[in-house]
Amino acid sequence: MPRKTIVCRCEDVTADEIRASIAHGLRDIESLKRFHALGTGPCQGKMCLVNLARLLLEAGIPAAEIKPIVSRPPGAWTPLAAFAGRKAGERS
Amino acid sequence: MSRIHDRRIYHQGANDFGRGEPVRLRFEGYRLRAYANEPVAVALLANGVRTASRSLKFHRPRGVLCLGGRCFSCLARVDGVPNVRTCRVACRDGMTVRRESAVPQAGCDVLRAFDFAFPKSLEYHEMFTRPAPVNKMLQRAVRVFSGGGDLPDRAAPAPAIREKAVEVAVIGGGPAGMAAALTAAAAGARTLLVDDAPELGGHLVGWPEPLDGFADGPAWIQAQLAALDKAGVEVALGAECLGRYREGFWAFYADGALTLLTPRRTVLATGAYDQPPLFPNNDLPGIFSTRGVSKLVHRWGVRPGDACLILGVDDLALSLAERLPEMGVRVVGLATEARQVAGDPDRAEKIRGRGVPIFLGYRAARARGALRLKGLRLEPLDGGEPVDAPCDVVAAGGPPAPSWELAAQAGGNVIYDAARGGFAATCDKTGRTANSDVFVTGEMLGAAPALTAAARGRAAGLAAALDLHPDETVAAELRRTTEN
Repeated sequence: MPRKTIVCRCEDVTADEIRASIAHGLRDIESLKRFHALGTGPCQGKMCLVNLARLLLEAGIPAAEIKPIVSRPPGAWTPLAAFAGRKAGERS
Repeated sequence: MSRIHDRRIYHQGANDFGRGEPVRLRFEGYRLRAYANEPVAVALLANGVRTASRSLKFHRPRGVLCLGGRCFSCLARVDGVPNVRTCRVACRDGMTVRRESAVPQAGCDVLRAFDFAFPKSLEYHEMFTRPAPVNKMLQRAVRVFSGGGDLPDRAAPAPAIREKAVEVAVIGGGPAGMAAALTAAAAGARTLLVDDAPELGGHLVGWPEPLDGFADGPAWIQAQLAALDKAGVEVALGAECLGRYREGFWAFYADGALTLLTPRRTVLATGAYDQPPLFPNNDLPGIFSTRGVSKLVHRWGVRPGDACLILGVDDLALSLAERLPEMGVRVVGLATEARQVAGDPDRAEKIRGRGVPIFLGYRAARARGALRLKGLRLEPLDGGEPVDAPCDVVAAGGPPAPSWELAAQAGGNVIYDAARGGFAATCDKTGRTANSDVFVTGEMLGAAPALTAAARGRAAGLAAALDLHPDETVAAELRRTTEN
């Protein structure tokens, strides 16, 4: 039976993968995000970042060095059509 | 889906738990009994459907964790729209719900083979990068084999974008947000309270305990609603804040349309996210957050399963341990890594007296089951015999992670703060962040009981209103609030 500890539920990233990457030198959340895509799924890091920070602390990285990913809008998925609407008085 | 049976509690009559009119959902060839006010995720759980979808790479079953719009594990296709948070959409007669990212369907997905083929990890960065034609072929195949849903049936319309200005905007309508809006309005500010949920109250909608003289969370919320109405606070529900844009407005998405909101002061009260526990198979459907189970049980009157193990021994955990047996759910035990009970010890003793074991100094080692949760293995921290607790529900407590995204977008200084349980914006006593027009409050400052969160909200609301309407009485009240 597969026994995975899932850190990122959106992108299916396991704790084993994260630990291996930290050992390979990806010692910050931004690098881990770029490699594993965690934090880029539907939840935008709500379910993974703190557990990720715990794994980094476990690997001996000081808390002061742990920074979150850069958060940008839109924070929840939105149909592109919503952005295509016009403001009042705006012409096409 | 092997069996369909109704897991709802019916005790008073037709409109128990404010479920509303009975409706029928069309779900993968079945017609499910549902109610008009019930979120789709609740209706699915009430019909014994736990797997909402399959995961992106390994096609592991995914199901509700938080029931509060934050875990994105309840995604399904609703009326031709992919990846809908089913905990946020109410049922409608004839609504079609389909689970995605699976072949042939999420109950039995042959693509789960990936999970077995790659038992440890799937290092797709290094797989088949050469030769180029093979790589090209696999790149195409990957889109077919990975999840993420299919395109919508129809293009969405593009309604007009609305703009709105207000003095104080409070984003998030839990206990802190409601308190902030109330005090800001009472201090003379034109106030708007926005929440993405269909009802105000945040986690308190599922709070089963007496609160500030009221019978439970919902009763307390009712009193706040009356006060908000009286204070003239404008309330917008079902509006999700997408973020803060460079131009200085907050964008909200509601009913297919955008609203750009420009407040003079903003109080962020977006709470904290229930976190999944970390152990092998921690993602099995049936593993909920404790607040998620409490909402399912107390707000919606749905049995989460037949046998429940509770991780954590705080007051909410103890309350669940008392209430679940009344609903016909066996409590297998409570377990915590701590050496002491965090909640009321007398209450814990009574629960023990009913034959429910409380495991102190135990950690959750792994969950058992492939499609459904079958049990949880508990290991004593200081060695000794592990315990296998057979269960089909786990209520996982543990500190929630503060939300921080909107504060960061507005220019707040976000740091990792272990004491607050995660990332959080730095702020002064009133909650004012590095951007002096923006406040953070409630559980964004770390987990707190509802009344503590409300007290934080009051301070932020007063400070925000005071910026715009200087007043000595309000200033004195703010000093009193922040002194304690």
